[in-house]
Amino acid sequence: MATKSNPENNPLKEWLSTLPNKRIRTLRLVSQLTFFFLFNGVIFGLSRIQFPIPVVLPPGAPYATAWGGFSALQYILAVGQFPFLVLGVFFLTGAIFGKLTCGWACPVGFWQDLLSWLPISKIKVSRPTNRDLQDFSGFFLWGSIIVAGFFGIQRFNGQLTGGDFWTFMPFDAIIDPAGTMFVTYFYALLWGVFDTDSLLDTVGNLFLWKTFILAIFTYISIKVPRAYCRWFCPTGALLGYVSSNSILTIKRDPTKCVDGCDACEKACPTGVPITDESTDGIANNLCILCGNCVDACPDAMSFGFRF
Amino acid sequence: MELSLRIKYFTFLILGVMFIVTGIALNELDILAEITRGDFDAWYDFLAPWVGSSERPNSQLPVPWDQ
Ligand code: SF4
Ligand code: SF4
Ligand code: SF4
Repeated sequence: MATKSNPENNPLKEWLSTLPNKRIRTLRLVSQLTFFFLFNGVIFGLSRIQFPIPVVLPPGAPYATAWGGFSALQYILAVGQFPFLVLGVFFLTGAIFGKLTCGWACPVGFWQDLLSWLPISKIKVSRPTNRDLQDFSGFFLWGSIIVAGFFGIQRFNGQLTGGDFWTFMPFDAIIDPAGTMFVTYFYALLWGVFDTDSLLDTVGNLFLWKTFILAIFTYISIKVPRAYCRWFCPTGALLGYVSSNSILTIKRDPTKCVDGCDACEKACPTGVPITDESTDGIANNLCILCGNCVDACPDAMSFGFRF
Repeated sequence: MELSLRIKYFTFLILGVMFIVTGIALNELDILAEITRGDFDAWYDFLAPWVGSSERPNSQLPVPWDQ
């Protein structure tokens, strides 16, 4: 019989949390690696498809095979058209698969998973803080939409032609750490910026700013797993409007669940309060369907459909 | 079984299909194709402020987007 007991003395909980079962984690690593190479496949001779996908993939990345959805959304808005296509892709994939692409394919999610493996002490974030900090991602999402939309209206009315790149993709140009890692640094190396005698004289202010932003996001993501995904990513924020109602979901069987245990929550990289979620399936926009909780407790947790 | 949740994903499914069809009909794929069609100047303007001065002898973009 499951009884309420002190979690510190719960042998089942200890047993669950030390289970060496990482089957899903291994599969996911293979998937993340495969997608990383696919998304940069121009280097292997794949051709570029001009299609938006719901992950972070800066279109300026030299070998990118597709468009990151949020970059495409800003660009289409900024040239003066409503981004039906991108929203459609986000709605459709979000409604069926939730944030599966975040857990299994996104290169920036992968980057954070690698960071979280560094043996550096983690910060524990309370549930309300975890939720409140998500407001940043909404701010980045709507801020970028407003800026891109503003220039889009001007271009639509013929008051503006051309324009600086940041007016087309404000988030990518000013904040996006993926753009810094995969685009800016690539060209900085290629153009030999780092070979010059005085680095500070030759790099632009935006370069320094973006390096600073990248350093901050890197540090936070080392201390808190998937911190950029949880709180800052506008792509994840947009997908999150749909993903909490997805058909594919994670289910917890309460009859097999043990009181006082929280091994699944400890394994969750985004801090989903799993034991508070409905047994119908997790309906939380933080969940990236990574399956770490299923690895942690294969008896009670499972992937499932919510028809 | 939460009905409201199912109504929501069903709505998003229908909206998603409708939006994708509308977007393709409005040639949004062509808009995305514009920017990577070997637009050297646009990319150069985009990248140069981050990377520093454009006056350097080996300033050359690779051309994967020409492919
Ligand atoms: S939240 Fe953003 S960065 Fe994180 S995995 Fe999803 S798309 Fe990638
Ligand atoms: S579902 Fe979570 S809380 Fe329940 S037994 Fe499994 S690990 Fe413990
Ligand atoms: S709830 Fe489970 S599947 Fe969802 S993010 Fe947390 S560990 Fe991953």
